[in-house]
Amino acid sequence: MSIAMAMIVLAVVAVFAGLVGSLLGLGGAVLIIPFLTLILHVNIHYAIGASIVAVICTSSSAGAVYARSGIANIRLAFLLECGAVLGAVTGALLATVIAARFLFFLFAAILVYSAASMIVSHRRESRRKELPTAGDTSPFAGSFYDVHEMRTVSYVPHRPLLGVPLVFASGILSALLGVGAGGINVPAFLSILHLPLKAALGTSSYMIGIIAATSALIYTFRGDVQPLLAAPIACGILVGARVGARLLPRLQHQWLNRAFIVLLLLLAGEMTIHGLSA
Amino acid sequence: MRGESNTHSLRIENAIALALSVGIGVAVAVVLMGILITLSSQTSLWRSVSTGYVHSLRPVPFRPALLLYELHHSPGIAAMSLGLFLIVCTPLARLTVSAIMLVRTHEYRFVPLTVFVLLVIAASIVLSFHLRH
Repeated sequence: MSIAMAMIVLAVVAVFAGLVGSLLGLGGAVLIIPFLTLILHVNIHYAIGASIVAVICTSSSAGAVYARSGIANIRLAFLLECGAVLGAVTGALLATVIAARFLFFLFAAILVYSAASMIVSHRRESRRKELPTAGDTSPFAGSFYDVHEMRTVSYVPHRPLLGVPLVFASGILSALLGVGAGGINVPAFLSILHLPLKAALGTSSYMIGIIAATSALIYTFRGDVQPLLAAPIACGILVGARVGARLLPRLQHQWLNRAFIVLLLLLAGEMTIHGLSA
Repeated sequence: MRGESNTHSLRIENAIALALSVGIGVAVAVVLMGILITLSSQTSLWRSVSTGYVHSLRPVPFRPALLLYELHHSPGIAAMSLGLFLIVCTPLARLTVSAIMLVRTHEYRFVPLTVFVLLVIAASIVLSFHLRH
């Protein structure tokens, strides 16, 4: 395969990954890594390096739209990013001492738990009409206009400090596995912080850029980011993420929830297979 | 008071959105330029890229320190490397803009949080150098 053809293929796949990643708050790496390693037989280190850059692209592109529209709760993100970057640095350090097999199984277990907690929190949320609030004076209160429901959604995150250890854990996994950690962030934001789904997706998408940038710097200086691989992926994923960010406010809540749960379970299966073969 | 707070909030959010849009836009433009230069100057086999080796089995890692060397030998790769480095730096630019805007709008309680995140990232850069040597 010529470089030109490979770059076109990578860019097209990245457009799709960016679209799914920004819609589901994941970053797109969950699709990029399997594609690079299983189909194109790219070295796993280069695949992780390229996917981390892709996550930053998705987050920066979608984050700009989500910040302006209020879907991303930037004040809550300021708090949670403290735990997330500490986790990312810890994860990058742990990467040299933890066995890959253990990581795959751990990640698969967390994803299954995340899917289960999303099903439970979705049922709980569908039973109540209004989201709980902790008072209007909270500095973390947020609101955004939901185009699909044609109303402004206002909310106050519950127990925002509890989110810090959670994003610390997701930061560790993000650095270890080269993924955006949205698979852990979004269910945690829903079940513990009680954010509306779109705010959870938007805030996760906005935050994961910082988590990825922290570990990307370490991967970068280690020489694990291969320009010819990462460059077409970065360009493609940017287009997909931009389209996804524009689509999110228009999509139905239930559709997003189901798509996210299916993706989590597929990812858990994939990680288990990786673990067995590692 | 509430109206003023909302205006401040919008100013911060718009500044963050602008920083992200400009940062990622410039970075991807540089990456695209690198792709075009590379494609117009060479045709190599995919196998060499996937294993991390191009140009007669010479390794091409993405390290900013090698940018000048790459610029002389393969400007396309150098532009791509520079663009990718700018992509990695975009979230850091966003954090810096956030801190500046928080100070300008007198929302001081979030400033220590953003400064803490920037310090941890700076520590991770130092750490990465330490790990490499």
